[in-house]
Amino acid sequence: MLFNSIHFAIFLPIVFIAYWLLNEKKLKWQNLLLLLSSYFFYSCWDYRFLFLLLFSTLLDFYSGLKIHQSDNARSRKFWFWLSIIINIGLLGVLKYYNFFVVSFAESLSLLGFEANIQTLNIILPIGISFYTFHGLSYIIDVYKKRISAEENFIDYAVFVSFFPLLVAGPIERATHLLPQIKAKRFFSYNNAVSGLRQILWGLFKKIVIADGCAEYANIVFNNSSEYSGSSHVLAAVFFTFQIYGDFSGYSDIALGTARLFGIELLRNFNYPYFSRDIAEFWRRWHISLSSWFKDYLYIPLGGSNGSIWLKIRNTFIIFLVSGFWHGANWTFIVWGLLNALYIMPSIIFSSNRNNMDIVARGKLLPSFKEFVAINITFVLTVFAWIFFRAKDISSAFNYVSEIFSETLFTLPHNIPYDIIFLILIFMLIEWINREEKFSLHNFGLLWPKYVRLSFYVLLCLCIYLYSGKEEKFIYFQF
Amino acid sequence: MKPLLKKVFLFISFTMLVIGIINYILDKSINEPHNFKISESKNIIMLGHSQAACAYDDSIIDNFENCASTMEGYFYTFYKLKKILEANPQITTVFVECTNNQFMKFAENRIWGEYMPSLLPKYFPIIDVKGVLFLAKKSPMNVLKAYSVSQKIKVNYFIYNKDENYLKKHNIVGYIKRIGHLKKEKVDSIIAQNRKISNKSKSGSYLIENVNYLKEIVKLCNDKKVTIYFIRSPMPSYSKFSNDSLFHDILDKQFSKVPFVDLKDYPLELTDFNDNMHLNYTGANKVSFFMNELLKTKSLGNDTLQKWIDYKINKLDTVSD
Repeated sequence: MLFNSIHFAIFLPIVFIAYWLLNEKKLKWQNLLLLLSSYFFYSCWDYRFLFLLLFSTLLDFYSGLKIHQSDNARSRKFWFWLSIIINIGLLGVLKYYNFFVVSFAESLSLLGFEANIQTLNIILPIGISFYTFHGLSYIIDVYKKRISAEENFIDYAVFVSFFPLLVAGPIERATHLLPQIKAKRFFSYNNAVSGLRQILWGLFKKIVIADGCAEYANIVFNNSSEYSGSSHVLAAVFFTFQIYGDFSGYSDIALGTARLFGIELLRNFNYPYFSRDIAEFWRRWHISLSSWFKDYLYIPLGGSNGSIWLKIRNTFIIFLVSGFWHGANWTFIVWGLLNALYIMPSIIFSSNRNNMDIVARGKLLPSFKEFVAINITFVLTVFAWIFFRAKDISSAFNYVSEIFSETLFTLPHNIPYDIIFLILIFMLIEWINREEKFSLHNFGLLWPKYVRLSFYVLLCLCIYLYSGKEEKFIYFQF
Repeated sequence: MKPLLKKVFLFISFTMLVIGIINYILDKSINEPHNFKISESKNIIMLGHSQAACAYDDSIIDNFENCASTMEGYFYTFYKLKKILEANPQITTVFVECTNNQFMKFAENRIWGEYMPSLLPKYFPIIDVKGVLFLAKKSPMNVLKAYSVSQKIKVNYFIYNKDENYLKKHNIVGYIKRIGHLKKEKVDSIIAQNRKISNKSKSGSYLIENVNYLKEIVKLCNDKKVTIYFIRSPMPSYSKFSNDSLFHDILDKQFSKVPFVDLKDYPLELTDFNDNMHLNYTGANKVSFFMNELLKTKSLGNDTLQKWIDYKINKLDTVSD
């Protein structure tokens, strides 16, 4: 069930009404409803994988209790590692087994040996990377005694499988989400309206911007040799907006939906394309994953404490793992490494925390220096996305070489002017609202009622006109 | 919660009303007759799916327009013909491609099955409520999806191409020039493949819906006093359909008043075919010159039409031997 599908448009109001009707009863009934509807939501893809989700949930719940209850260090360690190994093992086998086996065989063949390899014909369970990371953070936090183990299975299961975040995040922390699940929630009209506005903006990003850009980007990326250098540039820029619209649109819908149920999820995007350097970009892009890696990998490795070489090593590790988290393909690894290279100068010169606040706060326009910095960062990001989008490494390099062909300075083929116009409007609204939680948070609230209503209707019209393709969200594959 | 639900309901209703009004304007504008106008000099048209689209080069045949389109089932042909006839009173003769595969069960792909997502959005603006309901009964979700995809097609047409022929703009009419050649070594596998397809229809059943819409086409032509012919385009000599007797049975019993022009055995080389179903441009050239001659003899409508065609084909056969 996709957020941009008719099924979800039917599913959401039913769950929403039932949920708030149960408010008069006990909290546990509300949580049970959330759990059942989340499992229903997940089983709409493939009910068989529900058992895997349930197994992972049970394992972490039970391990958490055992770790918490035990005073014996060995026993605590046993349950901790058992949970970690099984979680990562499942993820490794289901997501990475074929990649490792094929890569190993290819390396052997380079050395002149022939390997008879056996790959697995398996479908990747949707959302596995996300719910595994939920479980891992919970187990690590319990083991490190940052939180107590959850004793109510339903509450814990809701934390892992809450349907707005189940398949593509944000990657939540038990410290943030569990207390909200355990607390009684009250219906707030303003919160619900704010949630609906965020859903509307998310749908606009996904259906109009992302799916609109996808059409052109897919044609050029899939038939690379038939297009001019300038078309390649335009398609790479379109993919840059596609992935942003797609993933941040998903996150907006997830956050808005959760707010309808009185739950605040972690913010996942903070206007990343207005970043002035790559370090800032990574503080604003897929924030829940970046902060997960920072807390559970980068800091345990030593973080930015220690020698410059240690910092460089840790930075490379975190970007390598982050790239690999996205998928079992060398393209993601190169994408991660490229970003590590981009960020290196600021690590070496300790300037990675120069741009902590949003650009040009309180001003209408950025300074010339900021404008140039934003554009350089954007160009670097566009270049890195080529590797992320390409189907394999050789296609990515071919794509780059085709950009720098003699047709680079010609007019691109079949320019979709309507999409360019919509991107400009979209970025303008994002720029105006860059200090807000999301673009429509306060946008237009002071306008006359009918003007505001017309604006929302206009957004709905755009969504309606560009819908119909029901393109999957890119991050569902991860 | 009630005030929220009430406001959301009002907002959705208002938005749907706006969408409805916009749709009405777009539909009204697209369905203007001038958007379906073909040249005044063309009074004969060809309809059907890709076999017809590839077989008749309208630059060779006088006063003739190839309005066939790939993957098209008779459902879509009916609505397209309706629009063409409304806009072009000069049309006197309609040829409708009638091949064995149009009656086979798998032809449902050409109406509500596999090909529907690529067909329906382009045809949506010209289909009436009855047609939409017919499709919605078969595949409701695909109809909804196609409907919203068609909105963008409508808006784009309205903004950018208002003066172009709607059918030509969306490539749902016109001769398709194929340049490939059917290779002899591929024929065996094609025969095996044909057998597989044919086996599916051995039960004697046929696609009733397609036949019903063919009847609608005939009725429409009769109402407009336009002469209609069924035509079977040339096929490679090895082609055999297991439903051939059923095919003729349907034509004889349900369409006895419609003349059937059978060019299936028109003598062509394998190199005149692009694949086992479609002619390439050399084949289309030969058939189009023949068709031009056929139309000039004025023998259409004559009871001995097929005899004349067979005589001509035999003559060609002897020459090629």
